[in-house]
Amino acid sequence: MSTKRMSRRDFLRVSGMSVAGLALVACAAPVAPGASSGAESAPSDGVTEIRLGTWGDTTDKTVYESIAAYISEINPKLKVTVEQYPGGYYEKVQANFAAGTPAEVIYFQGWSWQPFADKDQLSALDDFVNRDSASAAWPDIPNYNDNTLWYGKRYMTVADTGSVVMLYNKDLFDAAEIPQPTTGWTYADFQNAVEKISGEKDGAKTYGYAQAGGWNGTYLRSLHWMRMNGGLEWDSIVEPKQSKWMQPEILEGLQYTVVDTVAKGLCPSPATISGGGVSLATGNVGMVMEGPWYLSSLFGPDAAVEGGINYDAVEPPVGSTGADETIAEIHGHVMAKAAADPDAAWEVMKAIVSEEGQKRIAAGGRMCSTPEYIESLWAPLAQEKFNFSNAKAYADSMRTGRNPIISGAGANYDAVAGPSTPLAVAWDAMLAGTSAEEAIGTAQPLLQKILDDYWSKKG
Amino acid sequence: MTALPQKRRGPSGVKRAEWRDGWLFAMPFLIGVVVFWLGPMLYSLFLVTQDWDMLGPPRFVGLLNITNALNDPLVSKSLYNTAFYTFIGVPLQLLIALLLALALNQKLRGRAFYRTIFYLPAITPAVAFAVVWMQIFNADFGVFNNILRALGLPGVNWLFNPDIAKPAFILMSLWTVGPQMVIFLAGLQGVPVELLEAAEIDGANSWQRFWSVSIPLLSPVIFFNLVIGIIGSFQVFNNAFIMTNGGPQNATLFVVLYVYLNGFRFFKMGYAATLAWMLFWIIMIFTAFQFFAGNRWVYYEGKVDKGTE
Repeated sequence: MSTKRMSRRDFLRVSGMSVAGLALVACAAPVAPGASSGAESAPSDGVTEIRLGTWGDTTDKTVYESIAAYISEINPKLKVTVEQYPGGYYEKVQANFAAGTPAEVIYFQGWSWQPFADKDQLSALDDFVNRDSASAAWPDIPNYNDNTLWYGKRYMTVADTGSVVMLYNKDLFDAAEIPQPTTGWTYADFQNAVEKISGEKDGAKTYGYAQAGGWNGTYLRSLHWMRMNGGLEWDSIVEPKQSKWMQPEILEGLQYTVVDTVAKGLCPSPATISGGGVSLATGNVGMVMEGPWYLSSLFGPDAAVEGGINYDAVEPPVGSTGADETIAEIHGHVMAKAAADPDAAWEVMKAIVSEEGQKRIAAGGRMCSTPEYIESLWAPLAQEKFNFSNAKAYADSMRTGRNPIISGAGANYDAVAGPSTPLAVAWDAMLAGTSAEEAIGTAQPLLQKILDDYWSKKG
Repeated sequence: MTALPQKRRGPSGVKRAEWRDGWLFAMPFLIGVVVFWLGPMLYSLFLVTQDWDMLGPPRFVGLLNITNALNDPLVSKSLYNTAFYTFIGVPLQLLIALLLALALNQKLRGRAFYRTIFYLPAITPAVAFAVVWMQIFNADFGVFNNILRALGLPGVNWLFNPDIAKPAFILMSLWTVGPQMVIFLAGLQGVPVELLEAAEIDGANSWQRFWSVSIPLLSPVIFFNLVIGIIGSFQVFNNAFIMTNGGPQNATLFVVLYVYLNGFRFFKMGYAATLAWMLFWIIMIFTAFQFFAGNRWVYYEGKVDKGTE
């Protein structure tokens, strides 16, 4: 009896074919979710799946999974799949659009989505808003319109916000024997406090103000100081054509808060702040302009020091305009034009901005969408959780605050103030001691060139 | 009697079977190369002539991207930064790696342990590496400034001074010379002991033995490390992206970082592709020059000079 055995050559041949076949299968282009969502929108079980692209923080996971559960409750035929994009969020969003596979509903900061709308990648929401009488979701406040409208059409809902207000260490104010700031306090009060709080006691250095590190050492965070005396660095916040940075009011604001405070030791340098040991949260800084995301560092289980610090919030000190000109960030959701079921996508967006959705936003730790929701839903939770009294300062800042610049690709915030841009270089120079006039003087023509190139390309 | 014309014969069945099997086994690799390397490379070459923001279809712009690159001050700035990092950093890396290899080539107790320790930084994840070094460079409490102050010297603003940031990056790069060290070690162990003994017998001291015997025999290894080191250093990106984002004042804006910013922050993927190809050709030219120059100083055993044939 003969037994047929596989030869070595045959064995190797079969193995090679199997591996090649596996490689071909693995390399096959995946079916684009966007393309297939059309099929999924009418599946046999009648459930429509909507992909919701969100930031990569654990807070966002908590918030949006809670909202997804709520949406499933109120609309069992709608299933929301939360997709988080950690790391380079906008790079991943951009890559998804390039591949034709964006999520149906995508989270954006209010100054970042305009290039996508400009290139007809987003759906305007006006028809949905009018059909469902949903315009109340957008307060009639200029900053809200700047962040959600593009050439007269509404593209972004408002899911959450974040105004940057002045947080201050009450104990350091008391130790310096100066009154704690209240709404309407002046720039002179601020400067006095900075200088009185700064010093050294028992070998420990304290600083009156800290704004020179990381995000704090940027154009976006200096908005109030630039505009509090009437200066506006562009001819228009939205789609500017002219750069007007060399105004004395702007330069004076920057000279003190960015250059002089660091040079005089009233503010820790970027190098000092980068270590993480010198901040309002560690108790050796009197004041810092920060958003609601910073509160968890000040009190609670994630506080930088055990027991937290004794602090409160107040609107930034006023200049000649008498107004709070701080950065009032607005974040929300846009609808990709590739969405196979726009009605379903709209239902998801509507649920997020509804009162129940906003309750879940607040419970998850984000600041609500409108000043009214901030005061009624977020403030009580935040004040209790983070042990401070004046959450109203955040709501008030959302009523008057603005954004730095809102424009299309090539003249948006990243193009003028992102890494390696004229304003990034100017801020580095100012923080290293170069005068505001010199640093901004170098940036000014480069900024104008960016705008000129943008408009010549736009035609 | 004339010979019959021979029929041209094609490959035999066995030969064809061998070819088929060879292609089959090479297929997974070839598919990977085409799909993940050659394909994107060719597409990026196409993008050099396009204006593409990744949000709409590419738009043909001819040689505009190349013209813009030639007139962009940040291109020359990034090239200068990259060249500074490469042509100062790589020789220092080779020197440190060679010194370590010489030390670890001695008969030391625990030699294997030391070799492992010196190699470990090379396998540290990039982000962890960068975060740790940010603390080491901290102006107030970083290790380096503490050492300087202990020696009575003032602290240095390592990552926030435009004049110091690139030297700081070069200093960081010296921590990961493990792979070069291992290659030098292999080269040193390939130096015939008899040659060193013969030189010693002839009266050569240790420096003369090292310079006149070891170094020439090590020259292929030095050449390899130099070529690979320059290619790698030209592509520096991770540390600048994580630690400084190109600052302060563009002092650490390297070419690859500028490519990334153009592609993914400024919506200029066509321009980014142009810069990437520009870097490719710069590296190619430098590599070709090194091979040309290498003919003059690299000693290959067994190589026959044409004049001696």
